[in-house]
Amino acid sequence: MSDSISHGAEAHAHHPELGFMRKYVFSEDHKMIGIQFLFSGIIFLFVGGLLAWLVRLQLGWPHAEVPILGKWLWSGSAGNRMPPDFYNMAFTMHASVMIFLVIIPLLTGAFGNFTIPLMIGAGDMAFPKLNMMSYWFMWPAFVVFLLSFVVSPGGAAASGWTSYPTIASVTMPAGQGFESPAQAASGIGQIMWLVGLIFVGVSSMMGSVNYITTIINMRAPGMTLFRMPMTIWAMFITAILQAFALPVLTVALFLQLLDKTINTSFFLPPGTLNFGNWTAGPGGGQPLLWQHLFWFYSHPAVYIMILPAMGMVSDIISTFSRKALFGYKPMVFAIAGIAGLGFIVWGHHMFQSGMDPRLGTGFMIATILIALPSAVKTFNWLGTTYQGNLQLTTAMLNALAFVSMFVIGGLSGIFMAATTVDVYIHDTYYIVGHIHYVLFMSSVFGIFAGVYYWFPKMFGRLMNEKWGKIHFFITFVSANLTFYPMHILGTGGHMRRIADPLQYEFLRPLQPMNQLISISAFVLGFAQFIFVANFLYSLFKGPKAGRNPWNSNTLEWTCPSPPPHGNFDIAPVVYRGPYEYGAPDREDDFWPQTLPPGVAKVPAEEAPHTAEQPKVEKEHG
Amino acid sequence: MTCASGSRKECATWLSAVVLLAACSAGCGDPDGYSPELRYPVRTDPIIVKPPTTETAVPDRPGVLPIMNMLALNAPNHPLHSMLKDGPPLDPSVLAPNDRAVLQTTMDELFGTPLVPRTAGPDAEFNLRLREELDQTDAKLATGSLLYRQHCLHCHGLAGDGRGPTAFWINPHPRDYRPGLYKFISISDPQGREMRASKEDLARTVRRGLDGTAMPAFSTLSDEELSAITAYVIHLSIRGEVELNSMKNFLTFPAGQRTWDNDKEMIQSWLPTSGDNWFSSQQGAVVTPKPYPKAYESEEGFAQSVKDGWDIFKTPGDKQGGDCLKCHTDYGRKAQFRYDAWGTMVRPADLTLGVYRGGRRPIDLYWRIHNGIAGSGMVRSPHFQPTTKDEIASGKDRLWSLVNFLQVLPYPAMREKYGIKID
Amino acid sequence: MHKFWAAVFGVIIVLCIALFVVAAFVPGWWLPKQVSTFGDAADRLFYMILWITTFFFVLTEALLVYNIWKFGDAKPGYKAPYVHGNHKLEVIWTIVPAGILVLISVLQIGTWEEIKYTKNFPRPDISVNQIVVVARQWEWRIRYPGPEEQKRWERDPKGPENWRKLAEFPFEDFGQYDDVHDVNAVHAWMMDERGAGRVLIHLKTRDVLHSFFLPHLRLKQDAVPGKVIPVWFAVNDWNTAYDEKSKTWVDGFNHNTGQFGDRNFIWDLACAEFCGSRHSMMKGRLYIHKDRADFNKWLDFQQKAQNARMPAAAE
Repeated sequence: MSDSISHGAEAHAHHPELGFMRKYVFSEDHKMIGIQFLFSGIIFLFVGGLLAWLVRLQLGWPHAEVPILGKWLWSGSAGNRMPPDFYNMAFTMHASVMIFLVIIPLLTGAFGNFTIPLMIGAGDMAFPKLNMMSYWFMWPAFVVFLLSFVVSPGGAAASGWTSYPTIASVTMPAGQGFESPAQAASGIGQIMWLVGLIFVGVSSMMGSVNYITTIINMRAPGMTLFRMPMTIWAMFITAILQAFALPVLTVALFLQLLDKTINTSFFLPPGTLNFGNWTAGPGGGQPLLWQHLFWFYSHPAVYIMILPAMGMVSDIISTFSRKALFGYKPMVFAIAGIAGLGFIVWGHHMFQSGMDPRLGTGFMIATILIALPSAVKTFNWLGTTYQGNLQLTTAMLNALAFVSMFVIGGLSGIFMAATTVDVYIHDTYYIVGHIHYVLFMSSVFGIFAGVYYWFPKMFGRLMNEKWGKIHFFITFVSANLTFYPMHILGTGGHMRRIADPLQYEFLRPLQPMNQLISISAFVLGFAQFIFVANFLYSLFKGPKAGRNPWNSNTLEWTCPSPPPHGNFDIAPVVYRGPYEYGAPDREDDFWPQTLPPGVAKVPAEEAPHTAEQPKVEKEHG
Repeated sequence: MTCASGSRKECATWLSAVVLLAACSAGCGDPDGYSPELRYPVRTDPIIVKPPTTETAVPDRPGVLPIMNMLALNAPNHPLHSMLKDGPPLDPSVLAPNDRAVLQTTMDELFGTPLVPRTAGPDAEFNLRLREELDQTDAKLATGSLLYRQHCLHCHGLAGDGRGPTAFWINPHPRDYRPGLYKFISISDPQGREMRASKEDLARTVRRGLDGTAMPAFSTLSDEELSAITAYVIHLSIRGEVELNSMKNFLTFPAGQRTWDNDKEMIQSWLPTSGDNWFSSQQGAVVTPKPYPKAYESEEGFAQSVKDGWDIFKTPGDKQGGDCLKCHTDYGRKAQFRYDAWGTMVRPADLTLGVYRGGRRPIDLYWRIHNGIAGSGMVRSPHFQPTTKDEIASGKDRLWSLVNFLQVLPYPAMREKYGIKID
Repeated sequence: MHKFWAAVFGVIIVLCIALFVVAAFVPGWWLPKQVSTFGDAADRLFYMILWITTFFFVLTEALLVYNIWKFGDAKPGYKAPYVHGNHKLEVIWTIVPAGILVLISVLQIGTWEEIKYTKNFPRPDISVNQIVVVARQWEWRIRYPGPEEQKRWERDPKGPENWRKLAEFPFEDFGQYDDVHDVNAVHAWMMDERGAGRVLIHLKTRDVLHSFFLPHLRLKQDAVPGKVIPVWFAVNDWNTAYDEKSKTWVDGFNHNTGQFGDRNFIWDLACAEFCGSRHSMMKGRLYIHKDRADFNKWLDFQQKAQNARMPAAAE
């Protein structure tokens, strides 16, 4: 392995000027790959957001004609109304896009790629080509997901992002085509969904192998494991989670793909299923098998979608509190604890599934205990801000929002984990509120914090703070108005994934709440245009950032902004942990990890180091 | 690194905007209803003249109806391509634009819009009958239209054409009301004329659903709501029939060869025709079965009737039997799919399942056998009444025997008890 | 400006709590009326977790808001204390929540066992109301042992058990010849003092996953193709009576006022697991009769309707 790395480093050193294609498209530079993940993630954030709007449109006014779209898509026999089948597709694809094309790629793809080599003092990833492939393996998924919306007949997948058999897996008898007898759009759309996800899985797997190897083997001299920033710890443990859990999902996806295409019936029970004139089966499988396989990955996936954000937020909070992270080691152990327990809690998704209820008891105890490391982390974040010298930058505000909202998401999880209480709130809006408090209010605020924080390092310019704060304010308020009332809906018994709550006597009084949620969701969506405008404007016109605009300690801030190919112009040597803020006998309130002991001041940022670069690269190898 | 002072004002503006929107949402009602400009679309899908006679072991694939448009039929590899020779469907999509415009305006005058539906022609006496006998009052139709929109539209379609967005994905496909044919009816005409459906038949179907199809039971609706929906279905059905007949005229007689002077009057003239069909299908036409034979009430009599029923079921038509096995092959377990009058696929029921689409009551089974099932190819057998003197003398009834047999047939324990072997 | 942000965080948190408080007092915004025997225990556990989480919610959020308010303005000269953690604190905030969390989970077990463990299910006998519920796209087909069958059970103590065995055949839902069929309506009677009237449901599905959800009973169970899943409940209240006007049993009967149409006495049956196009419309109602006699009257009525040999008008 070391051969290939030194070879790669030399190649870079000898050919510093790459063509456009090699530099921006088929780049092997971890920073560019991270930025590619970032851009595609943000684009798909809007695709997913649009789908969420459609879902909210239907739920707020279930019997109304759809403005504009109605005449365009559902004229004629549909009477300008959104068909329930379309609604099913919208919520399915909303979740699939947001989880698999936005949050996971943004957290592990964009920030993992960008931060790992920079924060451990490496010139690049261990396997740059593999890294490039991990991004380009996302593209078939992008294409397949987008194409599936226009595939005829049916359109994109509509069985929910959990894709439960038998509604997702049932297929026509051999030779009768790939449409589904169970409902619209779980035929070809579903097959494309499965194919897309397999590609996403391969991409993630390549990424995680790369992350693990890089973090284990390529740390700068002096960067011991317990001097790694929390971001890197989080990425490391996330990568391990992915490496162990993903194969199970990939296998499950292949099994369902075989069920859908060559009628293997892994998930069809041994008996005939009746769909009017159509019948399916008899198979020899078991629908619950899918749920076990799926959640064996997808519960750890929830942690894959939150741990990196936790790591990033830890770094950001410590930096802007000008204070050491409170309880660094407990934080590391907490992440490890979450990851470890994360493997034995999948059954809490299946308390009402018909699985043996005695298993439920066991899964409940494991699940409730997973709240413990989360609580420890929260207390430590609070301990970090206590008596700090808080700089309320946009990045910090987003990070604080993460902490504040993660508390809600974490606490609401206890309700679902408790088997008896779960009987009632299972599959209601309570879980929808919970998942959005974890994945939107926490992960997405973590992503925003990361973007505002690392933007100067990525592009050499600062984002506009004023508009950043306006964006934060509107997002924070409207997101709470959107997702908090969902807990009340859930308490009222509002089932998830229903297109028309007005059908039920006990849900009618809740309709104003549904409308409030919808309106807030529209505001929330519009607010993101502020973010994009700020992002694009700052990309070209933002004030130039120095090497270390935030006076931060970690390694990435010692190289130029943006870092050149190969990253470090001064070979980083690490002398201390990442959180030495406010050391009493120093003039500065920060103490970079690379500053040799006894040196008082960071050298002037503009000092030219370019001449030494080739040598540095070699030292790395 | 503090927030610029200018943003405070903007923050406040945004905050008030959000609060305002939130406050508004509580006050905003649900805009529940059609917009005034929405009109019933004029038909574009093919009109089946003669259903194809092909039989297959499997029904049509999800996502499309067997006969979607003429363009598809023209493709030589279409399974129904031969239909173009045998009795090609009429194609409303080729209707001349001005004919279409006349049809649209006249239909709108007669039947209103989905927001304000009405069923009324120029004749006051006729309109009174519509209101009294078929509940076609404006108030009831408006309520019915709203309920239809909530519960029925996404399958049965805005104009009751059975082509709502979900319709293509469920099989049997939802009923197309426009030909005015309904399968599960209690009425029958002694002269063998085609009947519509009684209000009770439609209400029963809506309330109980059709087990074994995607039509669910709407049993949580109140009687008033059911009758409003029924009235609205009749409205759509009459509208569809008027449209169908006018369309046939337009397509059969090209401009210049028309047998009528005024297009509008021609269209209007179909309303009384369709209305009469519906009037004659109401209460008076309900078939009252022959009294259930006293002899069948004893255990032995019942056992005998089941055996008799089985015989009738099996016996071919030329031996005075019901000849049921001809279509319900192997008691329906191996029956083939064929095309019905609506151009969709239908299969003689598998009678061993205990799933009865038209209802499981004896009276339902009696009506199915006695009346046949309109549009499906199931016809009334000429041999269902007692034929021999012996039978009449012993107080037997062939229809009731068949009903008893069919009720026993699905249950293995009962088959054993009465000695029926079907395997 | 830092005080503004502290206020933003603070106001949001206060609003969150306020919404829960308000919702508890607005009709229809909170847990629906509870009528089952185990529902009270489930609700108590819900409230217990609600109070515990509210406490920690307020604690952590108040600390956060306080920190922003107090330390939120970065002062150029000020240096934060050089602290890396506190072993004692870490131990405390690990042990205390751990204890509370274990307590929460241990307290769940009793009621969970009562609701779901098969060992606690009513044994099929004459006092148990056995029902087969077959979910399908998109309705609930429901089947009861007919009156004759129940009469046979009086002579044959093994009858109920045999009926259960037949009901537990996972695919075809033939049932028996004299079963009483209904759709989208689960009928049962209020449990009497001797415990008669516990309902044992054999839940199955003909096509895809569904979930049998009775919000007013705090009961939910998925139906899985290829499995027959037993579900049991018993109800403490009743909501249906014979209505002379509509000539059948109607729910929404408030027995305190003697009026029909009380929405607190309309108990919906919903599907809670995504099942396709009409998932949101797959609904039924729960009809609980005053006592077994009234239920039997309904069962006879239903059976008579099911055996009708004449159109209603001709009878």
